[in-house]
Amino acid sequence: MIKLILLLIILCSNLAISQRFTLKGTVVDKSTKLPIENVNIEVVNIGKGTISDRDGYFELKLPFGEHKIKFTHLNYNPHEETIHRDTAGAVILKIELEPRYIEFKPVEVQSKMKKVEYENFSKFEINYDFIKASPTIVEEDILRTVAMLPGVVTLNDFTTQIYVWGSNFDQTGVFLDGMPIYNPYHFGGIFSMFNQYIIGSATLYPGGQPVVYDDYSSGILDIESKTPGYETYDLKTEISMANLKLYTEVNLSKAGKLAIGMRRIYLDLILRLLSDEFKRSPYYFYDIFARYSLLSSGKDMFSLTGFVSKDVFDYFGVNWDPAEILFSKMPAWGNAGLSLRWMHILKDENFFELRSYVSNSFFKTKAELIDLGWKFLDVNNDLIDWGINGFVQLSPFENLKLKVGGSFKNVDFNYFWKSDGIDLWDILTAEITVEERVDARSEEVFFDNAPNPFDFKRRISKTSLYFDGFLKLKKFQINTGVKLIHSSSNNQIKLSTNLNLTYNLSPKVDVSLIYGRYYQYIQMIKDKVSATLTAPFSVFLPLETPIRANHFVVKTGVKDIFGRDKLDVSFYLKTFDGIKSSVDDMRLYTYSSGISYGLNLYFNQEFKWFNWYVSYSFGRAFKEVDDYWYPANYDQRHSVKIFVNVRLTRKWDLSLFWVYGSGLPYTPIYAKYLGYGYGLNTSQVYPFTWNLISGGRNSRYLPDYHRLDVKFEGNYVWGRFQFKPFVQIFNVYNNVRVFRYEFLSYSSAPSKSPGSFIIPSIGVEINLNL
Amino acid sequence: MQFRAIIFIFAVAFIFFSCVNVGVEPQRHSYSVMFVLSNLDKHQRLYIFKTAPFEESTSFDRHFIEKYVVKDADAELITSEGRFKFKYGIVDSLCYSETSEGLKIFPNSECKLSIKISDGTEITGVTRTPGKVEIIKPSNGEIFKLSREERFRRLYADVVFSLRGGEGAYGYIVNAPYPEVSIWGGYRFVQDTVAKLRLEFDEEFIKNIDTLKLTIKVYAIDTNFYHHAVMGVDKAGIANAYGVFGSMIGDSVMVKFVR
Repeated sequence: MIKLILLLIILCSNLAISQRFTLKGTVVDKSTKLPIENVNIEVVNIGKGTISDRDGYFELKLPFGEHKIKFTHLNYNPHEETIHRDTAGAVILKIELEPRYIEFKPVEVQSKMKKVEYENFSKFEINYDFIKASPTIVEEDILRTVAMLPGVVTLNDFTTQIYVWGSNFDQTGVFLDGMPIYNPYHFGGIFSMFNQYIIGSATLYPGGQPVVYDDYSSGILDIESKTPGYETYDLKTEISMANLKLYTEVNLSKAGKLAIGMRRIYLDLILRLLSDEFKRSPYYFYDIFARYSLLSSGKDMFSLTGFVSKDVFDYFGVNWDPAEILFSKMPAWGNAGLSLRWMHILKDENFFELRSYVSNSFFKTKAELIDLGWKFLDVNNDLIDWGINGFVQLSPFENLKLKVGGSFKNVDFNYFWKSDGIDLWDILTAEITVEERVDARSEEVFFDNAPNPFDFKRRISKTSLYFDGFLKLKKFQINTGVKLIHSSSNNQIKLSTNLNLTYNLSPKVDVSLIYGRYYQYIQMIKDKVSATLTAPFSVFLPLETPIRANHFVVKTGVKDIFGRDKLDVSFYLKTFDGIKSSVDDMRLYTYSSGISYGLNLYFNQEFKWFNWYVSYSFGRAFKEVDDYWYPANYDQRHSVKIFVNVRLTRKWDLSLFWVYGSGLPYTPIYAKYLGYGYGLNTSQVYPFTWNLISGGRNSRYLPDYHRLDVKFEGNYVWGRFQFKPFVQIFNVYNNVRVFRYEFLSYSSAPSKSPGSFIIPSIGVEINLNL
Repeated sequence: MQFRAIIFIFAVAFIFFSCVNVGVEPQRHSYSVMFVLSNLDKHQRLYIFKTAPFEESTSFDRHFIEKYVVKDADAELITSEGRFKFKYGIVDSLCYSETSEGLKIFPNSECKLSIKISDGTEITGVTRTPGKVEIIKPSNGEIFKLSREERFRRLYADVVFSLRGGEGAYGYIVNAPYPEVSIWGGYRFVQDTVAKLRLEFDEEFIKNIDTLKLTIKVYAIDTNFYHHAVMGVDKAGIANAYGVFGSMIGDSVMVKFVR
């Protein structure tokens, strides 16, 4: 009897298997014939489904009979197929989907306008795939990807603070949807505040930027968030070794879409579970981003972007017994912002745009403690920048574009700090600095030689009118921009200008000559204290006299030397006047000049399975104080960067990044002498102090370094899920990059601070179509 | 055509790169000087030290410091009153002081320093003394009641200083030379002519004292001393050496602290 039942079961199961067939195939774009990833394939009659992989391939097991298959993708018109099969085997389909861009026309127009207008500027486009493929520390980060570009320098391998083409970090503006972000970092700069899922596009103008970006004297990183509606998944999430990220889009109405991105570090939660010592979270950060886009009558698009990014560090809870704390408000710093944009299509590519924003950068804490004496700390730093910008772009002829606009910007600086016995430096570098900290005065945390207490309130405003014109002749392209700026800080009118002449030597070769003059009214003053591993928060101050910058860029682009390749050769010369600098070893400031120049070679090739680039950069950057010229902190003379992305198998990609860089400058200490010393915290003058005798400012260079980073990334589809596991190793052969020599008056040898070490990490991106 | 363009770029680059310029090294010296003239001191103290290589471990210990004292220099101070020779070891094993008794430091006067070291190094300096300074508050013999800080077992009094004069001064130094009982002592810098300072005393040290008498000196300091001691300038008022040649003009007042 039992044997009979078993036989029946086997027969039935065989029957069940044999009554199924395989449906497989590929989905491609009807116009480009390229495979489409993430197409939702739904078997309507039985409620089963899957999604296509990056080759557009899909596969389903279906029971015999007739089935209605629906193919949907947000960027394509839906498509339906009916199939009928009563025998085993496979049905192979090749589906072509028709793109549907109509409802996003404003975005299309805008991006098209940008591409034409600023096509020949010196710039780098950073797309999502490049960010995703970049091997980094723990997780993808746009600022780390930017640091992989030629001529971009970081002071050590941990920080994401970027120094672009011979300029200080505060001379390159970072914008998100038109909002200037003053301190775009988490974890002291180890991560940027940008969740990569929110990024739609990013452009780095390393020099000679269009005149509309006149607020910064050296370069611009312009990040535009993703327009809701292009995402192909209902929910994206990533779990890395430190953070959890989420991104989703919601249809609020037929024309209105909301995108939400969130990220939070979860290490603190694990620490809490692992040890009683960390019952109070020592540190955490999070960021929340939202963008709402509304399309109205096909001619108007509104978008509202908001974000908050915040770091919180329970310094007092970690370092003091709760009984000793009279009052404490945990140190918290970060950014918040809101941006509203309205675009209206007039006709074809003629349109106008109005954008307003408010951006806030803050650092706040307050504490009163008992610890062998009374200690207190009160910090309340706020920078609030708001503005409005509107322009009309007209295209009277096909080869002529004119842009006329105006803007108003207001910045409120509200800084206050007062400390006694609690070292701000300790707070901002505690638990992070690897080696013994440099003996820096606490007040230098924010800017060189700031007094304690410090109470600074100032408001500056800037009104601008600008014109941008683009003309394309047969072999010539001319782009010229002028901007009249009136600033309340000095009640003067300045003229920013930009001229870009491009000549097509042949269909494959073009040469551009770019000149730009820019004025920067806000600056961070900090170039004296030794380099630090992290950059948690910088205080930006208004300048009575703006920094004046002149940029000269000569750029040649050569295409198809060997096929599917591009060679860019750029030479730049930048001059700066009016950079506010601290005088060496003195609590005084002076206006100084700067000059930087360099050459960048960039060669890249792109194939279906393989793309790579190699770059070489030569650069020098000097600053001057009282007629003494010295190399700037970011004076990196040579660097070679190689990036390779190869498709190993259908499921796995490999990315490699190798960098060689010459060492950055430092100020040597030769000797010590006996003199007077001064305690800033105590206001006491001490006789018989051993003071250090410096050599020339930044006159020696740290050792050269090189590093290899590797990343493997997989791609698996399981039902409606897509899994993208990744394994990456930062600094594979653990080559220590020395980023600082520390000289202390009582010690007999400088200590070398390591600026990198091997960091392996794993994570997974999980995408879901509900 | 492509290669012609590349050659053009390199040619332009070469022209610019040939202008590479590196800053010059600052001049280095082998000696340091600490010399701050004071009208309140009986003897003027001139300290001359050798510098130490960075590789040498250093300490603040007096015997250690003594190793760096230059003992065979010829030093001379030139004031409006005349020339005054300085000799090593008269009042202290660390310093030089004047050999004759007629040296007085006057307000608003220029003083010059000349030092010749046996290896041929000539160190010179100039200072202009600040104007006369007068303590208005506290008054001589003023009594302050000490308050008790329970938490830290300290006694303290808040003393308001008010000064007059001191023209040309870059700041003021308050000195309460009673280090045995004062937690806060030494030279304290204040920027303005009116300042409130908290004087703190360890209760343990003055438990047997009912009334504590303290002479407080307040000095107006010259630009050299200010720049070196407060601003951290390596060479102030001096040539061919690190350190400072400065001056200060002071006034003193005796105050009493009672429990």
